[in-house]
Amino acid sequence: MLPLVCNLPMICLLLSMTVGILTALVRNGRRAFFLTAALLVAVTAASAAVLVYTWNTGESFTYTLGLYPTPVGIELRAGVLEGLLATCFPVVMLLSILGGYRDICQDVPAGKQSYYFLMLDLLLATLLGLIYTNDLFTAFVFLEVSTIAGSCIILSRETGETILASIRYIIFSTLGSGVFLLGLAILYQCTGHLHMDTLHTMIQLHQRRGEYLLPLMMSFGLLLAGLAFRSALFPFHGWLPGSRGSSTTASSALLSSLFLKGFAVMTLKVILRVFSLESAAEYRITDMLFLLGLVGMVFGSVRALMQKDAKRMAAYSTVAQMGYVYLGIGLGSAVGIAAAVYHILVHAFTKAMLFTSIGALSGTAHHSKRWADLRGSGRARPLAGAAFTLAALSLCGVPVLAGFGGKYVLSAAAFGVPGRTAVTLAVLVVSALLNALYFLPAVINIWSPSERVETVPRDGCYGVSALCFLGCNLVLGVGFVPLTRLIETGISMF
Amino acid sequence: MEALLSMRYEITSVVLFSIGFMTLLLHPNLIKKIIGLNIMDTAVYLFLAASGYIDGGYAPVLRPGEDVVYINPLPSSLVLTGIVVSMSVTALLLALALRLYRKYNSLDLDVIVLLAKQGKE
Repeated sequence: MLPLVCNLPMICLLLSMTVGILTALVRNGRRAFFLTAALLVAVTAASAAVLVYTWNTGESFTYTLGLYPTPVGIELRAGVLEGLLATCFPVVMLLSILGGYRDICQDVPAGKQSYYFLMLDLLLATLLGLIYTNDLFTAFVFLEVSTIAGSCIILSRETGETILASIRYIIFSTLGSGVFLLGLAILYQCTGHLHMDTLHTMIQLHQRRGEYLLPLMMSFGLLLAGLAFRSALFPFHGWLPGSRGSSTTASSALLSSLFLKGFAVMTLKVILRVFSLESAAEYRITDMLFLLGLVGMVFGSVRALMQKDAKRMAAYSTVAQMGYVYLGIGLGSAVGIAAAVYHILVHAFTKAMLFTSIGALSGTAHHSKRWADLRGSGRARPLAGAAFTLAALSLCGVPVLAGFGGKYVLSAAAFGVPGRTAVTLAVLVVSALLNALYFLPAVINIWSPSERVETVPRDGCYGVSALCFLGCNLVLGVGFVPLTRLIETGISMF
Repeated sequence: MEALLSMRYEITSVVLFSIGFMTLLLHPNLIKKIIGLNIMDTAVYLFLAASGYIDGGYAPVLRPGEDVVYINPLPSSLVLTGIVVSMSVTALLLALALRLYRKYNSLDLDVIVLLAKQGKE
């Protein structure tokens, strides 16, 4: 008999899907919002229980669906890392929709708000699915569900621009899933399995015997390329800026901070659980990811410098931040991967804070996101201005804030990899400087005096969300030592 | 020649995949892009289904008292799931294409992007 806590991952998944259907039946946007919020709180609590349980027992557990034994049946697997991610992601989601609630009410037509929340619930389900799944085909199905949820979330404000962004997003992500599926098919042909643990043993066996080396390498590459498409790694980021620029605040915040992260976590699973770090190094995959991460960090920041629109700038900054994550993975050591996971959390909290504050600030300028129109908006909404400033400083790597923790952990990890220390540190410094170059003028801009700013009524929801974001940011900026230890424990359970 | 013949499913599916991939990536017309997407998906399904096929095998339905060779049912069920998924994505894309056509009177993505940049609806 399993203890109750071992059922929680499956219960969370089922709950987010059923609540999703319920929210669609509720025709009232406000009630749908409360239902979704309650769901997020419940999932956070349940995942925290999973985290505490696995931390105490010191090992991961699996949940077998329908009690079919492993090679045939489907499994969910939860350890410390899964518990941590599943606890943090719903929190970010809750704070983002809280911070963007006023914009949702304005941007999404009244009759359709409940459908918007349905898509958010589906997004949560796909994130949980990607975090917990222990077999590659289930991962593929969640990949495709996320395509549909994501495109509908982008489409929250129906304009020509968002439809276009949504189509571009679907095309890119189906390309990604197609490539992923091809890799999966090749892997299945070589091994006859899709269950991650069995795959791992089979691949080790093949490698020892020297069989199927080329197909294995191809499928590894294809799986990672598919996931890179989805997580907007540098050369595959083309769909990202447009889809962030035009949709409602909560959508942009969620897509940047959470959506991409699910696929980054999946990348980690493919590298660590299906293949291994050694074979990733042998196939030059870590070198490739390292290089793309480096280029992405610089390229994203340079493009962000050229933007005249706040949201597009933040979107290009996301490309740069995903570069950090892949840089961490590309270091090819367990510490590097822990740094990547830490950066996933840092970026999730910081970027959501940045996007919600941009949304709140643009409320003073008829929802324009152009810097020229946002001049002085910080004076009209001091809290949003402060949140924007702090998020920007955090991304630049100012100590005590989350971004500093991320950069610190990443550079500490780089010291463990002799050949890559200098390059990593140099690019980290350049990237931090570039971040400062585009964020500081923005910060000065929003605090400059201007006459055209309108006063807006107080927004309690946003206030609560901004303060919570700030709190989480401080925790991530100060507590990186215990948190990375937690993550490293989680990775060792993989 | 023998090797080529024995790998005919794989070769066909790779050719189809490339055709679909390039159409999806490069063709400006939306409907053709969607067709390309479907070709690409079908190619992968052929690849998957072929991997579970055994020459002369029967459909994997168990009949008591009969001892015949069955094909591997797992790839077939994966393909079924995949078909459902790609159908729903296609439906969504078609709906979006329809909306775009109503707004801009065109299905050419290049034209639409140009119009969207000028802010015309």
